[in-house]
Amino acid sequence: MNCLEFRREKLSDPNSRNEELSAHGAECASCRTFESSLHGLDDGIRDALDVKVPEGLAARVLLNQSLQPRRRLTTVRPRWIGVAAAVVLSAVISLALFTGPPQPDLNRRLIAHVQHEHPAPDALMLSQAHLQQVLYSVGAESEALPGRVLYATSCIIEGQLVAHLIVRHGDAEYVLILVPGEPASHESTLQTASWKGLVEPHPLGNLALLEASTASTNELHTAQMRQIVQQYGNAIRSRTI
Amino acid sequence: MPGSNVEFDSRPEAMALRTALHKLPAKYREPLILQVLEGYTLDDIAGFFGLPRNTVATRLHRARQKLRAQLEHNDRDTG
Repeated sequence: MNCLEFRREKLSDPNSRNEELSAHGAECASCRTFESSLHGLDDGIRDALDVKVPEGLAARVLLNQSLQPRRRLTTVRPRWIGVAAAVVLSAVISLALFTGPPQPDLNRRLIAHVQHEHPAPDALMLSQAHLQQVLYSVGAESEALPGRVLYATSCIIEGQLVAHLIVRHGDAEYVLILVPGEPASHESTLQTASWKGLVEPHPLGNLALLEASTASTNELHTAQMRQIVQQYGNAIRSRTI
Repeated sequence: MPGSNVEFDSRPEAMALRTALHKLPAKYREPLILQVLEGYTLDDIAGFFGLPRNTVATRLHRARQKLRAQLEHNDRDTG
């Protein structure tokens, strides 16, 4: 084994106990220093993220998923246990870095986001486990949402982790975005040439409902959107695990 | 707000490391977190994500390389 192979292996797994690695490390001071620096990096990560995943997380994730009325149990796989832990920890990193008061230009950012991130219809796909992951990533969960969720993903809007869903409600499709953080003091509407929507304060932050439409907003339509966003708002709650 | 009551190490080096981790694409960050914080093996992680072991090894390799590069870059900027 040469130094390049040693370093490549150690970068993948600093704790590897491969005998060839040990033999090379014993005779190469430079590689021992490199290995030591990798252990230092991993120690630094543990210190920087000194957050424990709640005990029993995996069991509760699976229990939660089994309670979903439309859940197909065949999709429950042990691999979600670890992935859920990684997603939760990733979300903690994001929240630690970017939690703060709402930006005054939230509506502008939402519009910019949906204009650039709206998935093509053939990209729509969803499993219940994936939906739960997306909600978990912003500190939320839901046992059942009022409409049919077609798509869900975790996105970052200018440094803020959000849950981006596409839902079908009646005959219409809407974009639903949960932006965690401090709730706005009041509801606001937004409209561009191609989008209109409503942003409602929510216990977890702000919940936006947007619809691709060139029609102008009227009071009846705003009231309908308000009713829909409030139904989703009531169904989405703070994560309990 | 979930997570907002969590107290983190506020030393500059810890902040820099968290920022560097946040900048890593999820495909690199998540296996790294599973390995370093949760103690999962390469084979475990490959199983979780349904990926070949070599792919996970490459992602972990690149994750650490990127983190080291980012931290060295920060040191140069502040040094």
